[in-house]
Amino acid sequence: MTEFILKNNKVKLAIYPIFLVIVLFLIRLFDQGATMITRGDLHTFSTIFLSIVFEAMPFVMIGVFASSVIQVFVSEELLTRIIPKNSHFALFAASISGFMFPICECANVPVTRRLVKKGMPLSVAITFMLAVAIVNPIVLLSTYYAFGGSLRVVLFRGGIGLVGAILIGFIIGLIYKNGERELNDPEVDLSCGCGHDHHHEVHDHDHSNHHESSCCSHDHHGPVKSIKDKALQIVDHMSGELYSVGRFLILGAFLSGMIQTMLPRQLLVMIGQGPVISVITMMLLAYGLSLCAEADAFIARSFIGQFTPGSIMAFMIFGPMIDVKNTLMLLDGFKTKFVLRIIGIVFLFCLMIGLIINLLGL
Amino acid sequence: MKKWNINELIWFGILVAFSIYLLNLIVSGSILHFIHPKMVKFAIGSFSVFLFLAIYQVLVLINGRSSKELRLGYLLFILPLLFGFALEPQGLDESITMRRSTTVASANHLNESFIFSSNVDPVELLLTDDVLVIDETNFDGALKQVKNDLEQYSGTRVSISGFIDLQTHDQAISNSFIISRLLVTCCAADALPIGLLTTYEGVEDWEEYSWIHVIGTIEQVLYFDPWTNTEYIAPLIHIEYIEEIDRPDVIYVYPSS
Repeated sequence: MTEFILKNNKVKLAIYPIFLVIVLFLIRLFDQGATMITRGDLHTFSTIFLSIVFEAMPFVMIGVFASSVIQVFVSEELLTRIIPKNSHFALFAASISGFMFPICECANVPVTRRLVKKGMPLSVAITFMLAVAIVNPIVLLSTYYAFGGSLRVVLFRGGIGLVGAILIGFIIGLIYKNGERELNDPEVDLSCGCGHDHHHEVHDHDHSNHHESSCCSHDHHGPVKSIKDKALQIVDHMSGELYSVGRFLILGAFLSGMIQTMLPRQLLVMIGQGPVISVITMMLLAYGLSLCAEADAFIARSFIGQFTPGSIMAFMIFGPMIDVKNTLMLLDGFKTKFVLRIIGIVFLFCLMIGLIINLLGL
Repeated sequence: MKKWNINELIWFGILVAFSIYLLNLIVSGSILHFIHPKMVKFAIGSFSVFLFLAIYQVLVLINGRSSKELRLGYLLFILPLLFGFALEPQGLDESITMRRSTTVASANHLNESFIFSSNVDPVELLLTDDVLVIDETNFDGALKQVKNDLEQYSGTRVSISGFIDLQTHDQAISNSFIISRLLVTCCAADALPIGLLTTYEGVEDWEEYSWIHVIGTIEQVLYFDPWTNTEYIAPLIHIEYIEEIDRPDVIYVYPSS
């Protein structure tokens, strides 16, 4: 049945008006009217929902623009050459390279895989993968603005992310001596799944993450590309990525609004103020929402009145490192046991951070 | 005429709709219901990008793209537009006290996170006719000042206005309630209620969320915070004079700086 729906375009087209009618009907049903002084939960929900979307959207756009530019102008070859492989400072250098290359978060995994394949030590590659989503200028900028111009939050988030990436990478390096053995041979060349299609591609599948060719590797459309062509490519990529990243932002904002307005207060207090359960809840939320790191600071901020500080910081560290999206990609590109180990270590690290912050009353 | 790709057409519609909606919000000023004034320039930026991409999308439509399976993800983009147009939300209101913890000014810093607390400097409070005046321009800073120097302010008379929050109170203190306002630091969605604990014998005659102006005397008291389940020393205002006031247009206060 679902396959029938997914394959049949006419059915899908009909879903649109049906969807509109149902949502409008539900809104009318739950709208407690504008005559009361306080307009009730539906309006509160809409305000929270819409304001997260409007607040975060510009930063998602900046992030999408930056990664589109990098997509078009910077090849992974360049990345591999720049990150030093075998020096003592490799881990540290890998962790801050996100600063120069704010690549699309979903490109983390394919790039990391390519780096390992080219001989980079697993520890350095993993540090890179974990750090690049947090220690990048756009994420830090959006964190700055999300928290009302707070340098302190930026420093904590960036600092913990940096230290965490190095630490976890180091631990991985201790466990695994030969990185290449952990690689999988994916059935299809890994792509970033950003949803971007090349318009001169043969045939694109939309519902899976597999394109005919990788979208986040260096483009292969032809040997010579004029500035105009590159510019058009950037715009095209932006449009596609805005769709694929934006939909998660909207979903996340929707869920965040729901949690804040629909849950009974007692439950919210119990979950939100419990020093341990709040951390675990927020981490699960971060995992499930699969938000781009530019946007998750705004969602995290909206929970300040209800959740412990430790849980909010854990949300902001765990989410960019591991979520549903990149778990799927990791499983595709790396051996399952390895992926489970990484997720476990990252989970424990973020849990510890959240608990420590709550314990110290920060 | 080439057959238009449905996906691209829908995406075009969404880009245009967002452009129009954002433009409308910005021009009418309603955008302030959702975001902080300092962030409006970013909203203008995102409007420009939507417009720009919409124009580019026209090119895409004209050039035609290979047809593929219809995307359902566009439904997600239609959601905020639907809610926005159907409801025209006017921002958060007093009922948020039911959902979020109220920061009751206190003499210790239990409900302030070191990492996440906003940078607010305490404000020098001025005495006018021996009465401390707290209004919407110094609400946040004034609360912090009283909190920091509770010893000094005990016994002082204070004039303050806000809305009544009956459910956040201490059951051990009779007739207590919070006189409160909504503090917005970054986005309207993050509005947090902040206020001072007060007590007034005739409080049963007043309705939840009604707006009042009061004059009273400050004293110290042990307060039990129902949100965090902790106890601390807090200022309590014994109300001597109370009057109803009109609900202001903008019920938010911003961090005093």
